[in-house]
Amino acid sequence: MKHIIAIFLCCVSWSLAAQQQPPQLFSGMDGIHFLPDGTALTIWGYGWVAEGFISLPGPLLEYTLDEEVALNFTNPSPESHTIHLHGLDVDQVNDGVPTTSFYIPMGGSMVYEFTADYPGTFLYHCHVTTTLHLTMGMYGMILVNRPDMTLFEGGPGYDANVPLLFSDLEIATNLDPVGSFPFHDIRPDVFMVNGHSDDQLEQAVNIVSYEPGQTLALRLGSMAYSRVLCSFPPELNAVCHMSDGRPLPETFEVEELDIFPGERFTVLITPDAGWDGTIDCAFWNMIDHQEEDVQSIRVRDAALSVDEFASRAMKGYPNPTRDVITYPSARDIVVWDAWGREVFRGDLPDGQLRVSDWPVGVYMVRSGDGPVGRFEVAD
Amino acid sequence: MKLRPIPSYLASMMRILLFAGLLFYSSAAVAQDSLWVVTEAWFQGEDSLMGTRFELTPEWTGHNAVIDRAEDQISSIVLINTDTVDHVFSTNAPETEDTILEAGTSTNVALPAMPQGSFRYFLSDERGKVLGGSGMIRTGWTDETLFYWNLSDWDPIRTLDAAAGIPIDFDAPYVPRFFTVNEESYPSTADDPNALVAVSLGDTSFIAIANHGFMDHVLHFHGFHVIMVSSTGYPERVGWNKDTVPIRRGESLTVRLIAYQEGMYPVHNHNLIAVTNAGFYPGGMITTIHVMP
Repeated sequence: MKHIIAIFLCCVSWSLAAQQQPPQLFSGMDGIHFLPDGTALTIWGYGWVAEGFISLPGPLLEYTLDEEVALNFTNPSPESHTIHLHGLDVDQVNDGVPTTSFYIPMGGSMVYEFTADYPGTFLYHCHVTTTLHLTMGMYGMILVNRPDMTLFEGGPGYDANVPLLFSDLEIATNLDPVGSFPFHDIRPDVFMVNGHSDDQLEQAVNIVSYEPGQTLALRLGSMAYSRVLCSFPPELNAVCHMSDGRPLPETFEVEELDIFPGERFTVLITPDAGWDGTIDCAFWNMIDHQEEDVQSIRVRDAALSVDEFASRAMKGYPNPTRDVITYPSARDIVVWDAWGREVFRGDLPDGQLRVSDWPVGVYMVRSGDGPVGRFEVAD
Repeated sequence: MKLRPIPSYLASMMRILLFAGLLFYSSAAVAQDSLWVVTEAWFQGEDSLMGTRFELTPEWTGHNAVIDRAEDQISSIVLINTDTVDHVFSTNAPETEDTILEAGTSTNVALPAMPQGSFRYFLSDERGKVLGGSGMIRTGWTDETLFYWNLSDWDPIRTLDAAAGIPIDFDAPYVPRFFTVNEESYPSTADDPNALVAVSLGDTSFIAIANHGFMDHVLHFHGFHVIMVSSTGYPERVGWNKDTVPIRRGESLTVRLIAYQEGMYPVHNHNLIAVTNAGFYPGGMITTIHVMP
């Protein structure tokens, strides 16, 4: 009898282990996003469980062509969410539409299963009350790559992927999502590339850097409510090869490219040596056809890059911490908690921020008007 | 000058006389379609709007007609304007000229030879455009499974003003409250056999799509990529394989769908303000592809 129980328990634990890989991705509704002027906004979104915070946009999901994907998703947030795998043409069960497939209630976890059977650029987003959940930040990009670094079978090769996800938001909605009704008058007033705007795009980490002769695959996708019109200077030698995860019948040299909400394009660039310029991206309102904003993606020969360290996100150590986190820059420090509340302001005479009595969680930190960093206070 | 609506009994009499006249006229003509321009009140939820439609009979159904023509052949159509105002008839096909449709008269309009594809015909005068008199001409499709999606966006106040003869301020902010496929908003799109694409596994079908509204629209297909087979706005994109298809205002296109997996898959505008009814989600420009075993 003992043997039978042991075998039974082994089988149960094996099958549970097979079905219940640790959740990789989680959703949250208590994230924080900083605008270039320092304004803190609440965001909803996705994050890696291992990192413990959500980001705008959500993490880049990368798969290898023909990979059998089991994306384990957990939702500790107070509302139901899903993941719609936009453009991957998954079956109905895994489509992420709450009325035709499953949804993940508060406290639930589910696995999305699909085969990454086409190489290219795709998107993911929540499909629950989509108009609101998406503008609050619940989206990200998916890349399906070929191991030989060609765009598709028989297609051109490239040296590196550059994911560029366009999106926008309306500040008033993010400040008061419950009061955002009616949804049809959402009118975005912040326009972003990979979650960054204006001078944030000038930070070294956001500059597209290349070595002369390198070919970069720009993975352009939009989760905006606007039409995005991108202008490619001739020095980039930009050629469009793919749209919506499929090769084009004929490639074309790109000067201007309209990207509508939900669309994707893959553009290969081989910039001239020594070039330093921008891809200007105009955001056009889809209702009354007004140009709302222009965001510029900086592309620069790596030889021209200087002083990158100073402009990178503020990093302290150890991170996560329980007692003390040490920063190289100790003047004019401001710290916010995950709800955007200021919890510390001042100088750190010895460079050390003492957090032993702070609640466990994710915090944002900034020195002066420098870029924002994150740290976690752990158990 | 404000236009006064004519009494309904007079309008009815006018339609009957026009209908009788057209019967006589049609007997002398060969294979000629006719469409009635009809204006009535219509409703979306609790909102009341005014609308003008190209109807297949003098009766108001609220739906603009879709007509089929052979490829690369000139043809004509008789248009009976039952309205109390003149309208201007236009198309987005190459080499068509505007034609004035005088109030209370019928007009024989020549249609040019058109390549295989989907085109718009529409009222291009301010009142006719705001009231949504706008349908589709499909050319060169025979024997295929054909569906059509006439897309539009609606500001109820603008339609009431236009019907009352009040000039529309197109510089004022446009805040449409309704977004329709074949003049229906989700979930009513499921009741329209042309909006709901109900097909069997392995079927090939074609969907003619036109944007008659004031906004640009973009449709995302769940579960499928579709091949662009015609496009007035992006002719260079014929042959592209897309899951997200922009249809700019005034443009029309055709896509081919191969139903390679079973199930229910939404198709919806990915400008997500357009998947609402009076601000409520879900609604608006959403329809479904239903692939049966």
